[in-house]
Amino acid sequence: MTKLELLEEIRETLQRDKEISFDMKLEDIEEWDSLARIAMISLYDQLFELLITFDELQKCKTISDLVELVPDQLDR
Amino acid sequence: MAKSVFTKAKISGIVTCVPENFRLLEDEVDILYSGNIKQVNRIKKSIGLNKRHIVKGDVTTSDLCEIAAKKLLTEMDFDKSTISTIIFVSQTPDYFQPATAAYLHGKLALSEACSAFDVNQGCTGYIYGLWLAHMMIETSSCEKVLVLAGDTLSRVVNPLDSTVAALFGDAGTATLIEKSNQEQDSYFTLHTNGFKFDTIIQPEGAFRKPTKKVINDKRIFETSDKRFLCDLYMDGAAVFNFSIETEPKAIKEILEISNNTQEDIDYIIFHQANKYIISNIARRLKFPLEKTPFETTGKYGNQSSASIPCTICDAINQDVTKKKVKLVLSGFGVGLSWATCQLELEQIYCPDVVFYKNED
Repeated sequence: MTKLELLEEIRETLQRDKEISFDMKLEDIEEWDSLARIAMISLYDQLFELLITFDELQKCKTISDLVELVPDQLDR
Repeated sequence: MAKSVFTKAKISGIVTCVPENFRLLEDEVDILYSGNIKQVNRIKKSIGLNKRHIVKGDVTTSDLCEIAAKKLLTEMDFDKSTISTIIFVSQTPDYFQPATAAYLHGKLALSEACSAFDVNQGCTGYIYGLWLAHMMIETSSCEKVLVLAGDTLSRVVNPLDSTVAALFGDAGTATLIEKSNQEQDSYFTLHTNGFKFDTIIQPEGAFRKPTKKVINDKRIFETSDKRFLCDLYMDGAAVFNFSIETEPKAIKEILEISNNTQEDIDYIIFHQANKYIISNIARRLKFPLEKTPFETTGKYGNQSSASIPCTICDAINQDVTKKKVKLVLSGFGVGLSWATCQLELEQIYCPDVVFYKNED
């Protein structure tokens, strides 16, 4: 999976119609609530069998930070 | 790990009683989600919440259990003096003392030759009740045991707290466990992680004063008019992580003990935390979703200790009343605790869910 494909997966997980980009701040994204965080945990479990914690998600400030949680498994 | 194998006991009847009164997620758009319909639709779609049946006024868990038990006793039509233990499993008893089991013993007019006690357990509680009942029959201490499991968590959540208010439903159930004439294998495992006791907690109301010295999760003290210390607190994200991490292991463990594979099992009935948690566990296990009922929360709400028996009555009672079905049942939650069993139900008494009507 490429970074761009993951970006699209994240957009779908957030159930967001509008575009998102890597440098977007999570706090500026209306859909980024507790529900979205749980959905992110599920997404990473599904895609990478990687169980991230809520605390790790809390530390993420941007979409890029979310992507960086799985750096080794993405095609550049 | 508490691990048990029994051969002498069987479940012969299950009845579930749910309040007739209900609320829909749409009713809460303004109260809980400040008019954000989009957010409500996301919750509906991903978590699977929709309708929840909750009690009105002063109705308690024991009222719901009483209806369920009376129906079971009447319809199964056996000599009720052969019931030698009644166990009430709940987080929402009538009194600190006496045990609600004793109150129900009186209401059901059971024999004096009967022990009665409460078990303080929630989402794992049904498995605890079955485990104790099977053990009592295995040792020939009892011929018949009545397990009454239920909760009215709608009465302990703050109606303005969006993290829990829309989740919980109320229910009371009655299950009869008795001596089996033929050998009947059932397997149980039970676990606890008490370091995480404050993941799901009502911090205030009993005898310990909630202080920062005792309670680890400091967010519990961030109270407002939407949650007081006497209201139920739940760290939903932590529960989600705990569930999808622990439950697949618990299922694999019970199958190892019973020497079965996933293909041998007709249904896995999980505690109905919500559709999302169940589908995530099933996916991790690669267990088919059609053999994992998950609709109870959307129809009735998360019913804590009653969710497993309610799901048997609501989703698979056509199977368990007509043929022999091999089940894995698994509960997880407050404690933190998790417990799993594998057993068979064969042509048991298991009617559709009955409804409690308020006397207006």
